[in-house]
Formats: sequence, structure tokens, C-alpha cells
Amino acid sequence: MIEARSLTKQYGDKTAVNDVSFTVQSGKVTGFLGPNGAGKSTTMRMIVGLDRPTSGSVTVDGKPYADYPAPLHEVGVLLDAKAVHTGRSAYNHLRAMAATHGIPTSRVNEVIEMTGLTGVAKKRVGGFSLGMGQRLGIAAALLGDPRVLILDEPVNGLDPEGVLWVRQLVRYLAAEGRTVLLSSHLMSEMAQTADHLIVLGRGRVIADAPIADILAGDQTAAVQVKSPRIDELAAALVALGRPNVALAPVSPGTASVTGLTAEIIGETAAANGIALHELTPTSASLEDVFMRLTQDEVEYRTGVGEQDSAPAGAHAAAPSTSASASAASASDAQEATR
Amino acid sequence: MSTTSAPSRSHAGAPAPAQRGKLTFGGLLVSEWIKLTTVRSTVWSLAILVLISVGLGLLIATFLEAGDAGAAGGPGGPGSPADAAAAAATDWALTSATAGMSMASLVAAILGALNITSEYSTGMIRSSLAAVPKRLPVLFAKAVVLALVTFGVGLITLFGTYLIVTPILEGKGFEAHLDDPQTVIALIGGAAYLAIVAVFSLGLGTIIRSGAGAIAAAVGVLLILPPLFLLVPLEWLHDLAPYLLSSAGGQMHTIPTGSTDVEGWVAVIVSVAWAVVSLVVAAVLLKRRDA
Repeated sequence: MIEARSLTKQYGDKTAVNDVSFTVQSGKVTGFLGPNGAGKSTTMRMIVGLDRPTSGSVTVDGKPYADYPAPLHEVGVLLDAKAVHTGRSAYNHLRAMAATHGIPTSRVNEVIEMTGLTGVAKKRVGGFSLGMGQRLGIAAALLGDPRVLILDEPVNGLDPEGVLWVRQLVRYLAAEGRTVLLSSHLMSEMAQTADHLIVLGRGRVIADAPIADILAGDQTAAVQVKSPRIDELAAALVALGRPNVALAPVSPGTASVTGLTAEIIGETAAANGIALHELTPTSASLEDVFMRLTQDEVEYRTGVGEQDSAPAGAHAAAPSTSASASAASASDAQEATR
Repeated sequence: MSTTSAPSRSHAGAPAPAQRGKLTFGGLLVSEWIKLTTVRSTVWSLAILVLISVGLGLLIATFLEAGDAGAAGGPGGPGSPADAAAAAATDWALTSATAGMSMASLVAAILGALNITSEYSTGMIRSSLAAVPKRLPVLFAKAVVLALVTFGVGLITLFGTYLIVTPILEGKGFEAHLDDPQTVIALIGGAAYLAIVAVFSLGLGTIIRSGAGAIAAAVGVLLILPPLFLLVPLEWLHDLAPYLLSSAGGQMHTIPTGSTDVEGWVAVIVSVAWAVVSLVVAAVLLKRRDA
């Protein structure tokens, strides 16, 4: 179990992780989702003590990671695939890592076989492809047979077979009762692998819920609307005063509307004399949910028109889409961009 | 890269209890030994160190003529009977054996700096520190292994060179005194100096985190500071010059002639202090900074 409490990390003026609290439960695969720069990697580095939190704390099974007498047996971590000396062979890299904890060479050979590296184990890591580097990183993470696994973008660069293998591996490890925290930007991958999702955006937790809840909470269909007068339509839709209405720009002149049915949108457009070029109900995928959850005001404004005050108003009622999306974070995010 | 043999076949595998280890300093020493001996730069550095020492030793032994001895020997210049005696007593085999020390110390500095800066440049440092979250044991294990390896190679090289040049010099009428404790101490001192420079440079590497930067800084301290201290016309700088690392270290591999600026044991303490200060600053920064 990993517990983060009010974890904050600042690099100079920039706040990479902002007051993040979450619990990663054992026996489950927890997905860490968020766009680039959301603070996923920074949070993971803080868990294993590579980065020092500016404030807040994080514990692994109740203790700070550094307090364990055998850290490699507690947490296996893949932070980036090439955190390896390029001049050393994969075998020697793993041997050096294993030696710190007195892990026998037999285990080194085991993880090499397990990750499919047998043929290249004696080759220098500098010549490895990204996929091979990932396999070596996973091998290193498994070395201590840890109770907690933290994998940052493990399927990045892997071939389809490797992706499938990672998926089976993490599910198997979680089924054994271990804690698995996995980050990815591949939403479809998360849908097939994770039990629970923690969505990060701009250094904050946007959502923290079982994956089924996040998907179910969003099944209130989105409607894609295309109109040459999209700004006016947006204003009109917001003026209806319905709860939980949100507009997200798809492309110039096109927006995705949630919280309203296609019928209402169509009638509103007709009542205002606004021509519609498209009105398509769409069912939400995890990807849509993710995009919506991580949407921020700046992106919205550049999409639909800056001078219009209506979109900002529409956004105020925005992303309370999922069951447990934090309303506080959403409003705070708006504060930050104002 | 075609070896992705059925990865789904075997899973993480339930661990045998016997595989459970613990993080120990002894384990870290083994780990650092594996790291040091499994990269090519170590082999190259040490080979160059040996070649320089043996090569320069042989060069001097081969071209040294009986007439040169007096001129190069005593510090008071040739001519006086005392100097003639001093020249006769000078152990030219020791002079030959330690002729390459200045360059060898540079190689030791490069080895020490690369030991940690290559981890920073490749990202390996994150693997190292994630396995040892208390961090400092990694640095200390590196220092111990580096010091032992440099000392060992230095010792073998210096004694080896001494033994190689001895018959050449004796053939020309020079004497070699390996039975003299002072000679033995000087040879051991030379090896110790190499170890000290390597550790000093390891500290610089940890502080600067860039190979080029750390090596430049080491070269500055070893080669550029000494003439600088003597060129600048400030009395107190001149007084400090003997306490520079390469000056104090230089005394560790020579037999005191009585005119040395600081005593032998002071030279040892000063040299060790350079390494210790560098390592302490490195330790503070390593502990404090994000990896």
C-alpha cells in the first residue's frame, strides 16, 4: 500500500506536484493517468526517495521507503527505461543491482529469462532498443521480488507481445496481493489493465476512483456539435441553466457537449436561429473521459473564442463528470488560470 | 532484438525465502566492484596508468648516464662534496619508478571522476540511489572500492617498475635500495597518493555531476594551481603552495632530502584532508539534491 499525504514538489517557481493525496491499495492494479507534465513521474520519484518532497509525505506500507532495511525487496521501480550505464551489459547491470542486497545470481538469471532478455543479456545496454531497455528496467524492478511495484510507462516502446506480457504480469502480481502502481498515457491500455485510476492533471488529483465508476459516471452521452456560430450556441446552452453542462472544443467550430441531450441542443439551436452542421451523440470511451478530466481552461478558450464570456461560465459548471472527481480541484484549477 | 521468447510463460514467480537478502555495506562493496570492473573505461584508464609509469620509468633508466646524476641529484646544485655524496645516495630506481606519477595521478583523477559522473550521464545513478535510498553508503562504497583498486594497481605498478629498471640502472653503476625502508615507504606512498587523488576526484565528480567539468576541475587542482601559487607575487600564497594536493602528494613518493617544505607525515595528512573535504562536500550535496 502506498499512501501519499499532501505531497507537493516545487522546482523553483514551477509546482510539479501540488498537494496530492492518494492511497494505492494492495491486490489491485492502480493506473496513474495524466498528460505529460501532470506530475506522474515526479510523484513516483518521490515515493522511492529520488526527489525530496517540498512538503507532505509518502509512505510504503506505513513507512518511508528509505527506512526499509531491504528496499529492493519492498519496492521494485521502473522509472525510466535507460537508467542504466550504457557501457555495461544487461547481465552485469542486474548483477551489480542484485549484489547490493545479496540477491543470488540465480535470481538474476531468472528475471533475465522472465523478461525475454536471454539472447541479449551479455550485450552492452547502449545498443538496446527502447523495448529492450524497458524489459531490462522491468527485470531490475522484479529483481528483489518486491511487494510493491512502481512502473512508469512500462509499455512505452514495447511490441504488442511485450504489451500483452506486461498486462498479464501486473495482473498476476496484483492477484498475488502485491501493490502495483502503473503509469501510462495509453488510456486504452489502462482500461484493460487497471482496476483503479488516479488521474493527475497539472500536479493535482483530478479523479481517484475504480475504473468502472469513472467510465460509468461518464456514460451520460456526450454530443458532438458543429456550427459556424458555435460561440453563440455555447452561450445559449449555458443560459439554459441546466446542471453539469460542459463544453469541450474538438476542433474550431466543433464542440463536445456533455450534460445535455442532442434533442435539447438541437431545439436550442433552432430557437436561436443557429445553423447546425453536425449533431452527433457519442458514447464516451476512457479516452474521452481522460481528455475531459484533464481539460483545462486555457485549452478551452483557445478553442472556442476568447472574447466570449459564456464559455468561461459554461466551464464553471464543468467537469463533475465522474463519480468522485474532486470539485475542489476543478475550481482550484480555474483559480490558477484566471 | 528478436529474442522475445514467450515472456508470458513464466511470471514473476513466487520467491524462495532463501532469495531474500538485505541491503548491506558489504553488498554495496561487491556491487561497486562489479560496476567498476564491467565498464571499459576502467580497463583503459588502468592500462594507461600502468603504461605511463612503466614507460617513463624505462625511458629515464635507459637514457640516464652516470654524468647526469650529480646535476639532477642534490638540491644545492653540483660541485660540493656533500652533493656528490647525496647524488651517490640518490635512489635512481625510485626516481625512475615514480617519474610517471604526475601523469598517473591525472589518470587516477579521470577514473575517480568517471566513476560517478558516468552514472549521472547515463541515468544509472537513479537505479543506484533507488536501491540505496539513504544514498551515502553508495558514495562511501565507491570511495572504498576506488581507493583499494587504485592503491592496488598503483602498488603493483610502482614496485614492478622499480624492479624492471633496477637491473638497467645497476648495469650503469647506479645503486638501487629496495631494502631501504624509506624507498619502500616512498613506493607505498606513491600508490596511496593515486588512491587519494581518485577519491578526491570522485568527490569532485559527485559535486559537479559532469565528467568534463569534474576532470577539468581535477586538472586545475593538480596541475594549474601549483605554478599559479608560485607565480602570483603574494608571500602567503607561496607559503601555502606546499599544502596543495599535488605538492603534498608529491612528497609522499619521494625520500625526504631535508629541504622539503613540510614534513612527511604532514604531507600525508594534508593529502588525505583534500580527499576527505571533497568527499564530505560531495556527501552533503548527494544527500540534499534530487537525483
